[in-house]
Amino acid sequence: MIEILDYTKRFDNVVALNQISFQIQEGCIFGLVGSNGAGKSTLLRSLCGVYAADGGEIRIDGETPYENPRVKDQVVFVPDFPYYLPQASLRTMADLYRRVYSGWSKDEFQRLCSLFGLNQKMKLHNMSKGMQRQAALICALAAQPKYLLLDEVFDGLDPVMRQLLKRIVSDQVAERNMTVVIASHNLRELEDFCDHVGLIHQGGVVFEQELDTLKLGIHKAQAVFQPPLEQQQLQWLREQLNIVKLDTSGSMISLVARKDEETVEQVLSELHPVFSETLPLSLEEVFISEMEAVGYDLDKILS
Amino acid sequence: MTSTRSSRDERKNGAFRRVFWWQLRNNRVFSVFFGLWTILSMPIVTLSTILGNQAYYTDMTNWEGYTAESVAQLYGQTVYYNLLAFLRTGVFLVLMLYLVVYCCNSFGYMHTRRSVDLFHALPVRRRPLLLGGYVVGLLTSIVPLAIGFGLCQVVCRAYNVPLPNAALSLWALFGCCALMTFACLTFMLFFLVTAGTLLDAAVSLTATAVGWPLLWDVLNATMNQFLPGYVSVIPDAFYTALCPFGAFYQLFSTNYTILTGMYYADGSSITADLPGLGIWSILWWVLFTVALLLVTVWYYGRRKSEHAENSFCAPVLRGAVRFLLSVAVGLGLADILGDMTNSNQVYFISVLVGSLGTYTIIQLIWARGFRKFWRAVPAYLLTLVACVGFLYCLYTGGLGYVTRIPDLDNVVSVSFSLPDMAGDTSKECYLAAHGVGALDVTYGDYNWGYFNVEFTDAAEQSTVLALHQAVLEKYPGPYLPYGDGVSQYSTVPIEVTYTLANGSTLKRAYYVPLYEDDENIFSCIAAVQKCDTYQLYDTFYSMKADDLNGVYVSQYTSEYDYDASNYELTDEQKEQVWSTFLEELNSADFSYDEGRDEYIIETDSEYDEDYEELESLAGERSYYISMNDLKYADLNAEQQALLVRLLGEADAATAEVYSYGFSVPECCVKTRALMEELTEANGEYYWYDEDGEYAAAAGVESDLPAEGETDPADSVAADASTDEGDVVVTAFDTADGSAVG
Repeated sequence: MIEILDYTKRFDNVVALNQISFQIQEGCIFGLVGSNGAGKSTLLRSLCGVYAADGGEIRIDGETPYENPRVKDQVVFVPDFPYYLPQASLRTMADLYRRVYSGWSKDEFQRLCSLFGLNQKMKLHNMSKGMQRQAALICALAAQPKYLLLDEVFDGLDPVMRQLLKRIVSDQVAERNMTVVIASHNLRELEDFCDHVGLIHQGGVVFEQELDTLKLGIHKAQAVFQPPLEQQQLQWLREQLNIVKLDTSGSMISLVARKDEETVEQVLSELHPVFSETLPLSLEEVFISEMEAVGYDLDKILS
Repeated sequence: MTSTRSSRDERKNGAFRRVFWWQLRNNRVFSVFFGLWTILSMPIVTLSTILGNQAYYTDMTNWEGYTAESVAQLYGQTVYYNLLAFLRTGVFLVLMLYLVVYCCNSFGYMHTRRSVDLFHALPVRRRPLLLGGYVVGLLTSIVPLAIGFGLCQVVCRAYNVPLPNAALSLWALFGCCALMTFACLTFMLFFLVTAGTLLDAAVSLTATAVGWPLLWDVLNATMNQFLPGYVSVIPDAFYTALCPFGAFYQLFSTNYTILTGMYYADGSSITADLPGLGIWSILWWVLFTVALLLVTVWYYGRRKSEHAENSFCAPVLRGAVRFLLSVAVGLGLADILGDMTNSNQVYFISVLVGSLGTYTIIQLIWARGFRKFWRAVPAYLLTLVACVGFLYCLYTGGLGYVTRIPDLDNVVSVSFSLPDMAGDTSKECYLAAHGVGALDVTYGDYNWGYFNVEFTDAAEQSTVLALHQAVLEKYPGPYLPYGDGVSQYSTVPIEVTYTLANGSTLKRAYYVPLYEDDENIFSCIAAVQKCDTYQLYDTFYSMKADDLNGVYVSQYTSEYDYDASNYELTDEQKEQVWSTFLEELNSADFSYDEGRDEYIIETDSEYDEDYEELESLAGERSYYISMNDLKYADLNAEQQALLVRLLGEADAATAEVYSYGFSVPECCVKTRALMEELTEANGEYYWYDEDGEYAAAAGVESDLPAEGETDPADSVAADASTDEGDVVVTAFDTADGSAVG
């Protein structure tokens, strides 16, 4: 289990992560989403022991990962821009991983190379961006870590490879109870891949929840009222539905509420709408709504 | 799926080993190249030297005075020198290149964030990660050197060429090479770890390696400029104390004296045989390297990963490097421009401009522009304050350095030297100008010693103290690097060294601008020269007519050609010349026209191919008496006792004291007339004709050399060359004006 306790990370005067706390259970696929510069990559680097804490701590299976080979042996990090040694081939990189990760499996390496169809002897610098990413994933997965940290892993992968990756990772999670933390802006890919999601903004955690619970607990609704609702009624709606976002356009209102579908429909019906419709939100819509709630919306950026 | 996951306990503590083998594999291309180059090139060079010189040294065994053993030793010495020359270029430079490439390849990862993500996420602690690569670098550098040295030894033994001190010298040299490789690699690693980018590491390393020796050189020169009497107390090893590359290079370039000692001495002391590094240097480099390695490893453990691509990795070191280089360049520029303009104003402005310019350039490089420039200004002001403080200290006399004269009660002995003194027309000044006043001795096999006068008698010491006090009166202070348009360097040196009762020494060397009105100083000098001890050291006082070697008269003709005649004297003529010369030297009328005579002598010795100076000497004649070197038996009893005290009985018996010749000044009319008469009547007179061939002067008998015979100019040069000021003839010009000789 990964425990993040009041963790703080600073770069000179910039606070990248400010006293964040949450847990990631074993065997889950945790999606880490957030605005640009929110601190997602910093968190991943902290989890794999690249960065030392400036406050608080991170515990993986009860131990801090920084300068702890025993923990780091179970954690593999695939960064957004994987680094390869000069003139290295996939085989060269595999040699490095083989020497330092105790869980390295040559059979798994061969199997993954076959699956992704990569030439082990080809220089990595001659490969495309997508192939380089595949190479990094092959090395990471062949090390058979208990914790796999992926940063923007879908970038550069074609749709088939994305599905292949999801399938392989899901299999390993199922087989070995591997925990995956994946940071990405591609929320559609995360939506059908993750079972937990955490939203980070400006160094703080906005929320961290199971994805199904999250999606069941937040809904968007559209309704038409004749005559249009008074301010007093709108205020009542806000109170009843824990509204994240509310737009009015004449007699029509659009809202995003942190309530289940039934509650939303019941509250709206009490105001006798001419028409009303309640729908679940996609992860992307959840992201946008939550970010707007913390002041990160397009109107404010443009204004 | 088969898992090959091994037990974690099994692999515990294996991080270093895993990194070691991986780094070895990762650097195999460079390592193999360097290894092959070193292992093959060293024995090949040795072998080629042996084979190339075999015929020469085989032939030498037939030469008179050479034994098979002495030839073998010379043969070995030649092989060793050639090997050193190759090590200096072919191995040292390649080794440095290899270390740079190796360090960039193995440790460059810490300077880019992407590579740090990979390496610092690996399940290996920072220290084994660093040390694994470090040890690989060390071994891949040193092992090929060891094999190369070993193969050289094998080649020499196979051809029966004895290297100096048999096996020891090569292995001692290898030991020094290994130590300095250790130091250089650690030095590079230190800067790689403490810098955020490769560029910053390179700048810091270069600035330190160049700036440190430069700083001490410049500080030495600055103190010399400001402080009258300043004598450098900075040991040579200090200049390279923070520059292992310089110390490593010196290993192959400054050991000839040590080598000679190693070759001819009994070889009992190992430290004496170490080429280029003394025991203290070895101790320093061991301590320095170990300490630097510990600091580097400690710092790498604390170094944050986010320092990659961040130039502000080690602010303290950054400040130190910037300070070092700014001060060095500021004072160095001031020295150069001050010397060029002889102006104190230019000097001080140059200090400001040089230090500020250097500081700004380094700041621009490190900050990648003017970002944070103003924040660096206070640090520069501190640098400037340090410079000003240092210069003010010198301006006021270097904390009493200038005015410090020991009490007579505290003085045990005084070593005094008055080399090439000039200044007035007295006999004492004339003798000092001709290099007497010190013992210049050769003894044993190829040994040489130069002994200044050493006073132990209190009354004699007081004459030196009085002279020292008189000299100081010329420097009342405050002290500036440049005087009123007169450079101190154009004047006369006086050197004095006091050995004090507490065992310490106090040494001063002055370049006193002496003029004829400096009567006080001249009378003090005369008082010193009249001391018995001074005259004991002066061979002039024990010379006899027998010691004359010959007389020379040379003339610059109206066509600016140069003719010379020399003459070997009979015993009667020697007596005649010497007594006439002494009579005139000791007469009250003796007046040495220092300016004119010195000019002629200097022009003789610094033969000007453009004839600019010779032109003004057209029609002038110079007269020179050369003396034989004095053997031990030729000296008087007191001087023999002195030599025994200085050299020991055995060496004193083999000693020859070099005798400086005398240029006969114009006031010695009788002596010159006598020399003229002798040489015109009997002298060998020669010059070069238009074709550059020897020819006899009209009306003068001469044994011109036949083809293949010894060049008479060579014999003159060999016989008449004394010190720099007294060389009579070493070159001639031809009728068409081209220089020959």
